[in-house]
Amino acid sequence: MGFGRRFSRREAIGTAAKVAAGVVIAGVVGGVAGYYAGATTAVPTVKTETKTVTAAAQTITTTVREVSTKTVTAGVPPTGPVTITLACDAGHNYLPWFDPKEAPEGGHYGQNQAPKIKEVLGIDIVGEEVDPGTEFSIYMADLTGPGKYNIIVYFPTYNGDILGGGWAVPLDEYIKKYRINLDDLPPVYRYLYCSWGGKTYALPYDGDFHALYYRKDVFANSDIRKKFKDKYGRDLEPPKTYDEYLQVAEFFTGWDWDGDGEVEYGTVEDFKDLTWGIFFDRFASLGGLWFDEEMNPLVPNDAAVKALEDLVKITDYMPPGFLEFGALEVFDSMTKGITAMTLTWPDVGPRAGSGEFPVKGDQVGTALVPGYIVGGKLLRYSWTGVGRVMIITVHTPEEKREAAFRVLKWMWDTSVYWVPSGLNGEDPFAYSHTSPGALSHWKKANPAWSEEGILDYMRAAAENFAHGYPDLYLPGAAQYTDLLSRYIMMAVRKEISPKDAISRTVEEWRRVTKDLGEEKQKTLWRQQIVEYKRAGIWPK
Amino acid sequence: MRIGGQKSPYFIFILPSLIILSAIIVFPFVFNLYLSFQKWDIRFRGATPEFIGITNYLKAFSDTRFFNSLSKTLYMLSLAVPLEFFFGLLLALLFYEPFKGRRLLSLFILFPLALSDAVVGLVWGLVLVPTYGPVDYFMRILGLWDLLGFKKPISLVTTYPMEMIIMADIWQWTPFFYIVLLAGLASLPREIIEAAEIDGAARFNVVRYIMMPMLKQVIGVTLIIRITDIFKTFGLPYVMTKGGPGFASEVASLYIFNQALQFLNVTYAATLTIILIAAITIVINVFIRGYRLKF
Amino acid sequence: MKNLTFSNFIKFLVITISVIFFLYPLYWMATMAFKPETDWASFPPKLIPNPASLDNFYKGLFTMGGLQGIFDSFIIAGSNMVLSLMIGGLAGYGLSRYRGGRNIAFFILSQRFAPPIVFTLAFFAMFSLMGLLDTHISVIIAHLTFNIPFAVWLMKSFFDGIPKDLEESAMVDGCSPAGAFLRVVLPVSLPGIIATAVMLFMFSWNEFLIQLFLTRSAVKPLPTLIPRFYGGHDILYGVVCAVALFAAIPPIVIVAIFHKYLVRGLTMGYVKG
Repeated sequence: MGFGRRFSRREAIGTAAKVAAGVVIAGVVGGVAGYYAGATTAVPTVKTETKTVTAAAQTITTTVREVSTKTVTAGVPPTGPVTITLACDAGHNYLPWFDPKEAPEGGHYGQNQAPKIKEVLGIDIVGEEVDPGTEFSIYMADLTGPGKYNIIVYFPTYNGDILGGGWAVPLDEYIKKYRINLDDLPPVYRYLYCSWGGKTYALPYDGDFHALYYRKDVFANSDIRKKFKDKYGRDLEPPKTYDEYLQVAEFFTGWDWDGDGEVEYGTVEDFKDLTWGIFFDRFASLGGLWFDEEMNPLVPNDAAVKALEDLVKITDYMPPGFLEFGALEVFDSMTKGITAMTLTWPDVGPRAGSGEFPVKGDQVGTALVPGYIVGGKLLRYSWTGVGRVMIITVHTPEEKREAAFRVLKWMWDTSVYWVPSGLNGEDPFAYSHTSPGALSHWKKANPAWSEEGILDYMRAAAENFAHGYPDLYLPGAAQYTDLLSRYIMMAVRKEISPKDAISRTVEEWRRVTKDLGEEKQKTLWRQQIVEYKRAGIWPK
Repeated sequence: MRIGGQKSPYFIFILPSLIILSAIIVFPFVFNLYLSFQKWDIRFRGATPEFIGITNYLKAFSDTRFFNSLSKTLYMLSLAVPLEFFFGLLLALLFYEPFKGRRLLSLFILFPLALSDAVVGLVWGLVLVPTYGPVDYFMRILGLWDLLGFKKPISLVTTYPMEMIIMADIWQWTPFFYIVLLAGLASLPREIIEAAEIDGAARFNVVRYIMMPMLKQVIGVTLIIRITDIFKTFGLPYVMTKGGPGFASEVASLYIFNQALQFLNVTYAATLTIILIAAITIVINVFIRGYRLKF
Repeated sequence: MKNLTFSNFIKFLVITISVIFFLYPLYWMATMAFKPETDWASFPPKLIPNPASLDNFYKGLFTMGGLQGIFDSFIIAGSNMVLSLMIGGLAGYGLSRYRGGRNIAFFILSQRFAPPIVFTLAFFAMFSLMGLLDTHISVIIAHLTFNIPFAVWLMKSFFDGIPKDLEESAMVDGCSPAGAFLRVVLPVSLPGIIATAVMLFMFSWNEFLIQLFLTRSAVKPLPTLIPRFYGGHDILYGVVCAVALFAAIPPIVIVAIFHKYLVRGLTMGYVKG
């Protein structure tokens, strides 16, 4: 009953918050534009127009600034020439900093920000690409050793070690000085990933969350709808609970529903690299916790068993070889028409929007991840495990810290140059990224997508990360999640029962906690619980 | 230079190696040993090492995951080394006599050596991937899945991870045996072999009683090198399976890597490394004794 | 006569199957390298890239540092090969001829027992203090830890197979031990030297963990570049294959050059006396 009451209040607050956010954003953008306009240091040609955009029953008036020259107002004058050394994981996520193949229009829009930062702010960024598999040890080796990096970009699961270890500079004074609006961030970032012990240490860089994608066109097909209704007695819709999800997946498995001569499947998820994440979507939605206040792992245990059982059940409806599918193959399952649904990272929408795959644009719909009905209310959480956060390292000399902060701020700021939109290596993580005000950027980045499709995706994205649930980020998190993933895999392959898998995981987790120092872990975890409560995620 | 009362000009030849190795090996080794007796939470700023005696070692001896990893490594050793050796030897013997196209084909066999571990793992992963990979495709076409008793095609890498890793390893390292044994054969005095053949000895006997004994040293060394390398093999399993699914292919060096670089338990990893080195030393010693490798 | 044909046929069969076994994955890698991104996971798998594209090569080599990687790896592996061969080869000879070198030999061999992790963090600390991080020289030195023992042991075993009377007769004729080594033993052991050199180059070329920690951006050997293609969510299979293919060229060229002498050594053997 506790859940029920809390949730309905939360639901209402959620909707109110969205409307409020829209209003606030309009106000902020207007205010910021005014502030910037008042401190011009260059003479640009800036076209300012006021657009009224109607989206999802919200009418928001925004001021959209089209910048048509290189120099632009930067508000506060640029810092003198300064060199900042930055480390970020290699590939895809490095492109927003440096992309030699940057395109002014089209799919790679918004990348290669480093040269722009240099021009406008005078900050020279020296970047280093780091192997994501060993990035943790490389960062720690640098932090405990030479201390060359000023900014590092990393997965929030390492927060426990990096923030908890005392390697980051608190950002609160800069946040105040530059009037950063933290309310632009969803709770999972604002209270959990970016803060530690009540202070803010990190800013987000990439907002990975889980979303439910489905074939909108197939779901709208009247023959298929009839077939579904006949079989299950209800209308075909994007599933809201995992039981519905199982049903819909079952329905779409084993026959050719798109007429291409190949048998298709219900759904697919990313098992290979982040196995614990897909488990956690379900577990969190059952009210599960990483630990309770006494450091008991995976509480309540029977919810963990149920989550794992459901995960095992859904594998019957996945394409062959799914256990080896990396993220790319999972995305492709949607965009190549192999599955009717998928529950995975934000990239699927923009990939469809790019038009490079057989399934395009509006054929793919995005929805909030399913959940479970707990205590009479529907609880839905989206695991936001692999985004990135950025910190300023303690090795950065005092004089450089402010400049480093401005770099961090730039990668969030969508008012001028870009917006994270999936195809440019970044996923949105703030309400401003997914509000209609950012629409023009999205359109530039996704030329093959209709405006309606983009707005629909933006809305769903905002919904999903608003329902975000954080990854585990205690010190030694890698050890815990490694064990969990391996036991989950064994259960999925039916080598052991879900019950055994969970009980063994719990046992090993207790051992790890003891090894790392039970009292210390407990203290740190309790600090985090405070933040969970502030974010409204902690039950009761 | 006098060594043990014996005048030996050859010691000078050995000296540079000794000096260099001692210089660069001593520090890491001693550091590693030192770490194995400490507890050090390097993740916390300002943390210092703390002496805890043999606690790490006691922990290692009750670590089932460590023993699992050792068993995986030994499994790999027991299959990969003999197969690579015999296959390499067979090829070296076949290529010993000239034939048309020998030069080119021989070069083809050596290609896998030009790839790094990670690439080999990647390529084999690609070749074996279900649905999109050629192996699965051919097995479907030829009906081999049915023949082997599978109802529907399975993912080879997830169901038989160790076996697939071993196969990729054999692919990568058979050429090593091949090239070294071929060189060994090339250094054999031709007349002895020809004399035996003229005397009517069967090919097989020539190989067995004349060539093999002369190659004993070379064979012994290649086996030792390969055995030690398999104990340390990391890149291949890391890329192909990351030790999964579950713990099915977590070989010793993968587990140590995880402990050191993912979990940051550097002191415990140092302990496991020492134990691993001890294991290798024992195995090699047994081998040298049994094989009667001459010094 | 019949026996000969049958055994020739078996020989032919084995050789053919072996060559296919060794070549096929490489062929697949090559097809991947020429396939555009949409075809990397195509069903059914395309045995011949169609359409073929050079995009992966362009991307991997020019925009993602493939060329620099090949260059850096070549410098490191090449230098290390020469150093290890000279220093280790000498020691191998010394140990082969020196009675009582048993303990030294085992000491040298045992250096190779240590997994790279032992060296990774220690060298990182060491070279960082010496300011040698991100240089070729640090990696070259680091690789000596496994290549010198290998060179010592392999060359020793080859030298063991060459009877001492060869040098002894040369020394009777007035040669110094060093001279005997250079003029008599070395030429005869050429196949062994070549095989060793090839392997030394390969070991250094392919090493991963130590290089990863000792290099950052100035020096980027090939194996450290591969993770770049695993960036974030996507694995750029085609690009990795393209770079790996291109990167296989220098080692293969080295192998090809040495191989010629190896085969020549095979046909000539050596004549006693």
